[in-house]
Amino acid sequence: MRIFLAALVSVLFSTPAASGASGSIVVSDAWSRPATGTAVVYATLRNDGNVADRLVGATSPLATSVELHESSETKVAGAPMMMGNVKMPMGNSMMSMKALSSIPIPAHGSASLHPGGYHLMLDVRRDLHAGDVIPLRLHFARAGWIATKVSVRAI
Amino acid sequence: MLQDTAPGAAGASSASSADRGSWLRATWPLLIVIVVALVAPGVGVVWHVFAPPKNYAPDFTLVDQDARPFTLSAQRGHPMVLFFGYTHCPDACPLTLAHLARALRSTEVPRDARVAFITVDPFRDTPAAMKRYVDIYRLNFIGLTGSLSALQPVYDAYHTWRQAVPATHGPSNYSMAHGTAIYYIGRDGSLKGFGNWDDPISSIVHDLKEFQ
Repeated sequence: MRIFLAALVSVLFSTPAASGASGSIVVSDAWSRPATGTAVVYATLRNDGNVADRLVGATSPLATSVELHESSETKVAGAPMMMGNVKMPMGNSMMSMKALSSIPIPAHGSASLHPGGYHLMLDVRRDLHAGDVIPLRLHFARAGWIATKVSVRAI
Repeated sequence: MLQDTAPGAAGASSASSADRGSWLRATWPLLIVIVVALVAPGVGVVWHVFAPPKNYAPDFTLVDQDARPFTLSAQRGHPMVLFFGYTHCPDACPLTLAHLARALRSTEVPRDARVAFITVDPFRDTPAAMKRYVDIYRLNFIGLTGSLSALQPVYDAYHTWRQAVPATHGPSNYSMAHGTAIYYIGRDGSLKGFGNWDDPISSIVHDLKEFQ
């Protein structure tokens, strides 16, 4: 049991590679936006291995929680919406998001966390400004923990 | 030599024809005024009968980020952009607002255009929360909130939707599903056109010019 706990602790708190690479997963282009309260993280997760992997969680010292999300735009069925004599060209649609338990990364493929699709939602402890860097640790089912730095881009 | 070609000499040579023409020259502007005065009311009546009625954007009064009342019709004279969302929205709303902010920085768009971000989540989006949020985008951004009973008629009038989505994983309470349209209102208060949440900056610049 002690050996197991020691192993667990060493896995959880081991110093990950600074490059954001661990085994077969490479994290790149991690970025965010200026935010209050709720922030986002986008990134590209590349899997160079022969086996599929999954992002299953993430933590950051700047966030009280990090959730895996997917946004989706739903076209609302029915006639195009008219307001007076102007037609809504897209018939209006609905944007929603759901929390996920994992984000799949296929073998020899990648997962793109990008606006309007997969993303991380962070409840941040302080406002984020352009130029800030968010330390982030991503947890993969196979590759384990990978540390990365997320740059907050200007609007 | 100089005296032979003086302007006075040339004027004197055409004096007789000027006498005849001067009456007409003096009165034709007056004739035009009379004709216009007779015809214009008729044109006005015809215009009123056959021109399409102004498509005014549905009016509302909500509360801005400084907790002051904000009435849409009081903004006439400014091109207005409306967008619905909420401050706990991590992905879609910040993209739209960032694109709007960057479009407004373009020198091609009217400098006096204003963007109003109307919450679909009045329970969490107090005026103070809206102020912190719209301050990210700086100038020309207005954050609007109010009671649900004040907001619901606005959602209805603008054919937008809101729906709370309970969290299935993770500690967050809920997210909001909401309509994605961008509404462009001209200086005259009429609804001019629509965009969508993920319109590229170039298309927003085009719409801001087109729909002012």
